[in-house]
Amino acid sequence: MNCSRVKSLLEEYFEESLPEPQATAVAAHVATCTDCAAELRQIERVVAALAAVPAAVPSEELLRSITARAAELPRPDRGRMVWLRRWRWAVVAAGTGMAAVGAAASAVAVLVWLGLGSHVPGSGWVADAGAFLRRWVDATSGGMVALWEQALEAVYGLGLALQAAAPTIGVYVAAEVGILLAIVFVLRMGRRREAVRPTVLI
Amino acid sequence: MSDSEAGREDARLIARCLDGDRPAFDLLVSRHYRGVYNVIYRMLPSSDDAADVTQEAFLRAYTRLDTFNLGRSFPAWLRAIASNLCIDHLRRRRSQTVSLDQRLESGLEPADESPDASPENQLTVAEDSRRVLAAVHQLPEKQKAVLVLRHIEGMKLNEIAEALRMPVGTVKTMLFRGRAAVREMVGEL
Repeated sequence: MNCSRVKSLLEEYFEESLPEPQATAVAAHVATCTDCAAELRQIERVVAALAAVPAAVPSEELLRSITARAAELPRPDRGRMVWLRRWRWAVVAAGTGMAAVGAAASAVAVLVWLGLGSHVPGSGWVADAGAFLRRWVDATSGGMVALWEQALEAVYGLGLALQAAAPTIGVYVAAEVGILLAIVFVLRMGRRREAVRPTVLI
Repeated sequence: MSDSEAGREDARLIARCLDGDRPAFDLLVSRHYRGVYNVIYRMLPSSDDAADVTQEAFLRAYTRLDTFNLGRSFPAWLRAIASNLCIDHLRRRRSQTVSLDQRLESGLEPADESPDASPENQLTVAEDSRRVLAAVHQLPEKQKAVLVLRHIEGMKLNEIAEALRMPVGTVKTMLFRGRAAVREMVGEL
């Protein structure tokens, strides 16, 4: 191994991260080459000089300043929301998606309820209200009655399918949880940004 | 106090702080502000800047305390925050920074103001340290951070990689290039 090659490996040799066959070769070369040995000593001296840099002493005023500024900030709390920040975009996406499902389910439910009045025999306030709305639709839509018939049939079928696939109450609960998580997350992140912004000192 | 006892005491104070005991954070600051200030002071040759960035580091740590993993070293976490703030600070101030050479030429005090840096002791280790530190201050931000964390703070390569969020191989490359550049600048010691 020549001097040029050894000098290119000296830093890694000093850091003891050179693979064994090369480390042995470099050690053998340095033992016999005064030029390369001097360069290795120079690395050692630079590192020793850095390790010997004396500690600086900050003022007590700095300590008082830090604690006074910290007292102005909202207190940190337990890390129960850490996972929420770590998966914030997934949470926002899930919350938005669940909110959309909730809104769609609500719309379907209203239309199904509207359709019940004319399509499901029975009594009680649901059937009465549905019948009233149906009469109002018939009276106000004129030539559109046939179209409404078809639309209500389709919505009614969709509503039954939805009810069969998953209890409506479950969809509502999931949607509400998603909306709640999204709102809490947005409010919390906003509060943190407000808290951090005034601490930028530079 | 041993390292493990110090770590347990840090964990207790952090837990108290997260339970709403704000004075516990004051104790954490008093335990670690000298160390954090030194990391920063060795990267920023201005004591005013070092104080500002130290304050910012602790306030950032305070607002993010709930993200700290109690299984890790709190001083190492603080050093990571401090190093990254220094790098950001140096990048922002790059065009305005007065180099140490300029400070010396203009008659201002060098970064190391210890008594051993006097002309009478120019051949001492302290003088070597002053010269080497002055050279380190001339390095690019990340190389400077790597050298300070490795040789002044005594951190391992993988710890530096984690703190500066870069691969270990990149840390090694920066360390070797930084040391070579410092040797080139200081000449014979």
